[in-house]
Amino acid sequence: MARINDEAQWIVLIAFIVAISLFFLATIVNESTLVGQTTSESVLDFSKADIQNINLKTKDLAMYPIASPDINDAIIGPDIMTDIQDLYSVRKGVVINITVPNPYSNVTLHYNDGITNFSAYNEEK
Amino acid sequence: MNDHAQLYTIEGFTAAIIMLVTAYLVLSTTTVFTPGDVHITDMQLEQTGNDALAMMDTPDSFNVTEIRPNTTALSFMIQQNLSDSFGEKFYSSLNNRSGSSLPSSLPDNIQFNATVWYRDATLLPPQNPVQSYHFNQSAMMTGRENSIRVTRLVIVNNTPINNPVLTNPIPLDQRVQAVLVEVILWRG
Repeated sequence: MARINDEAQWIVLIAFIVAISLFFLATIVNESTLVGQTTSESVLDFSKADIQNINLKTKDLAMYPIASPDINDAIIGPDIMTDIQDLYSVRKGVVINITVPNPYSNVTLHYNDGITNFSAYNEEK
Repeated sequence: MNDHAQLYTIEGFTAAIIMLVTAYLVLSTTTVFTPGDVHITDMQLEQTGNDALAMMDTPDSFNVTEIRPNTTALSFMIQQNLSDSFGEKFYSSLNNRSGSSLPSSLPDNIQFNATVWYRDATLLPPQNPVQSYHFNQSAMMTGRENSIRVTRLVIVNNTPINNPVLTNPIPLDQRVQAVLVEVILWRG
């Protein structure tokens, strides 16, 4: 029986290392497309600007009430509330419900666009 | 039984498995037919548009003698129907960059088409109370641009005579109302 040839072991070892590095590089390429897409899609899907905008307008209206604060005990007049709800449901498919008690205290905001279901309860001290 | 070269056999099997798994990973890599970075530019465009609208809808003065002391430039432009000054200011907010002479500080080329949506309380079902009118645009859209939509809810003070659309029909002119500014943005 011929003696086993144990030359060139370094080359074999380095070949293994190269093969394993290629394996990891392939894994990274495999993930990269989805990472770029899912992160930007999740930013697009979450309606951050909408919610901030509605929240701001609610507080703005509540702080400077302009329309019939006595109707339904609401600070924000029913006309403006219908404006907001109709515009958002027709144009953006969003269901909004805002409650501002009179006198101005705890604002409750519900926002649902089918993907994001957001509720906020702002406790005023 | 010949038991030579067992180490080579093991090495051969290992190499084969590594190659097969690598080939599998490469072949199973998801192919997205719309390039993945389209979503990233969409996101940037949407952020820019929302920021520009938010900037124009931020009060820059506080006048306690007014019925709403913190009315904004955007709200005022809709109330007075100043579509030209809206177009000018919105276009520069979208496209201007800081700096002066570097190529990277040249203006961007974002175009817009703005529409104002409002609720006409005199229209009862089955009519749709949500109506719109065209506000301003910087370029004609061919329909082939990769465009995105940004919106802004704006509270507009009562509009006695200035905005012909919002004052007609009559019930609308007597109240403060919320309108939705809808802007289509694209690069072109």
